Amino acid sequence: MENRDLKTSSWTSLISVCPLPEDVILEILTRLDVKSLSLLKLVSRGCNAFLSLPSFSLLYSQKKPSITAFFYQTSKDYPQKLQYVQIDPKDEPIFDPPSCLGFLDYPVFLRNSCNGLLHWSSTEGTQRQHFISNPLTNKFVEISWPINSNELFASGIVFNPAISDQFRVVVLAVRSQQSLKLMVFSSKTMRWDKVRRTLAFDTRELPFCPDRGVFLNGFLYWESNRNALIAYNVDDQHVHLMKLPLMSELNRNLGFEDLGCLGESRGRLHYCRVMDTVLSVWVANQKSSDNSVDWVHQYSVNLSNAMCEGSSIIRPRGPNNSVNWVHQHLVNLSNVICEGPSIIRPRGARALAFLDGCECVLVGVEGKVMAYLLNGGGVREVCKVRRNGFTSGYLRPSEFFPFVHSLALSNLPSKIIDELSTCES
Amino acid sequence: MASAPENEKNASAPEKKTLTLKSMINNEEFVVDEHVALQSVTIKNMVDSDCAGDVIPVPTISGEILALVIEYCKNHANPSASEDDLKKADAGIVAKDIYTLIDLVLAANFLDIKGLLEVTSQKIADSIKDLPHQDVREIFGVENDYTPEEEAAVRAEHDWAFEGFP
Repeated sequence: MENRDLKTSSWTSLISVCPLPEDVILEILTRLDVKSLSLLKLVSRGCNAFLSLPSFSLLYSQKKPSITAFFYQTSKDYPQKLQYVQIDPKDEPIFDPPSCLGFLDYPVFLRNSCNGLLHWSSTEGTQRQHFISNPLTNKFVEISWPINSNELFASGIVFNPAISDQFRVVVLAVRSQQSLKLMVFSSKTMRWDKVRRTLAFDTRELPFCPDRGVFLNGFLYWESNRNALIAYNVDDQHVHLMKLPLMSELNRNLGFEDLGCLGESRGRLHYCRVMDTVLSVWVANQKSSDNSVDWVHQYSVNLSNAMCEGSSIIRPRGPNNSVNWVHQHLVNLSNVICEGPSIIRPRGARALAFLDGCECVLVGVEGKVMAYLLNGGGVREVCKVRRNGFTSGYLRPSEFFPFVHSLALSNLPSKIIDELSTCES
Repeated sequence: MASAPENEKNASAPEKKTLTLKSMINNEEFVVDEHVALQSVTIKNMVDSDCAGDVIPVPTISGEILALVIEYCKNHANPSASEDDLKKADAGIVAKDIYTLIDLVLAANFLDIKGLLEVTSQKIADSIKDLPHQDVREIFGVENDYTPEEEAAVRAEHDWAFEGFP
């Protein structure tokens, strides 16, 4: 275990009062959920100081998978209504994600999520109130939005708790047909950068979900309406386009329903898309010299075979509250994914997110979210999708917000909102 | 005991070599197959560097805890054990009170047995998860150095986490 950075003065203050060796304490603490860690802060000053260290947050995040849970919108008419689903049964459930914004007397909508942080905003219109929150630590930051919602080209959160406990918010606005205006908010300074760069970009290439930037490997990505990824390099602050792979038999234009999902494993970008009933995964071979990309095809699975005639599914929970992929036979399978005895092809299925180092994909199918194990071909039901009390419909990528338990924002003083200086645009 | 030839590793002696582990707390001795004991990196290093005599003294670990450690190592040295069997066996080993678990995690750390360290740490985490902080202080011998005002302030800050706690 690499934790040399934790051997600080705060650290020694903890071990001076606890008889266990430091490696053992870390081994135990990093297995606790965020709420339990907050309770432990009351044990002693040293405990509080240690658990509040940024380096502890980093170590904690390094031990977590990239996604442990997700939120989804349960109603088209009331997009503020959310359901929380935990993928990792060990984590503490949370039932009321906006509770940390409970002082507000107007509804807020979930816009985006990034490694444990949630991006909220008030209703479209004149109010430009945006919040970044962590529902686990009940901490949030109010951000005064630099543009009107109709000026937004794309936005995203830059946050990786395994690298830094600071986050940034990136906003791109259309400046002309050939350029974008860049605005960056930093949690370190709690304000928008003064310098607003202009980036060359063909703005006819539109992101499908403008406020759903996906942060991976130092880039923010948005899927565009022309079968490409819009990629913003956080370090050198440039935007470029990456063509996405095409399905060979494709003979129609791509639509909203063809959105895929992105993931990262061993530093390489993965892309998954479901077309009709075929789920395919590609891995990007990126050349940094000219930003070009080759998509190497990894898997193609026919979901109707995999889910209706395949050989394995898994139960949601095993006896020890662990997830077990269990092989079952055809009868049970058709119950899981196909309603009744007649086999329904999972038409309209959507890839939602990669799990477990891109070994597994979450897929939204009729009334359910399924996890599909790419290598072994196992399938399990993660949850039923409940819409206005009914189990129906497909979960679409735009209604789906991946989440991971992190200690993000836990170091913020709770009164931060009062001290926040608003930004001038 | 069969004396091992000089070239330790390449000698594929067909007869099973054993080691004796001795708890220095209550002088209890355990005779175990070498391949079982070698799951402990600490013991492996001793054997590899020829520091191990016929009896390996284990300081600070009681016979009761050493027996649990050996049970774990035996289970995990069995090549025919399935993953499910091992999980069940591990759960049985760590189904102990918190003080035994702390001794066990210290033993796993000292003997450097990664799997046992992980499974015991998880069990300790599960056990202290729902405990009031007063109990955590007592179990780990941590003194409360907060003033009442400070404690109230920290508590207020994490108010939300205290639902259902006194």
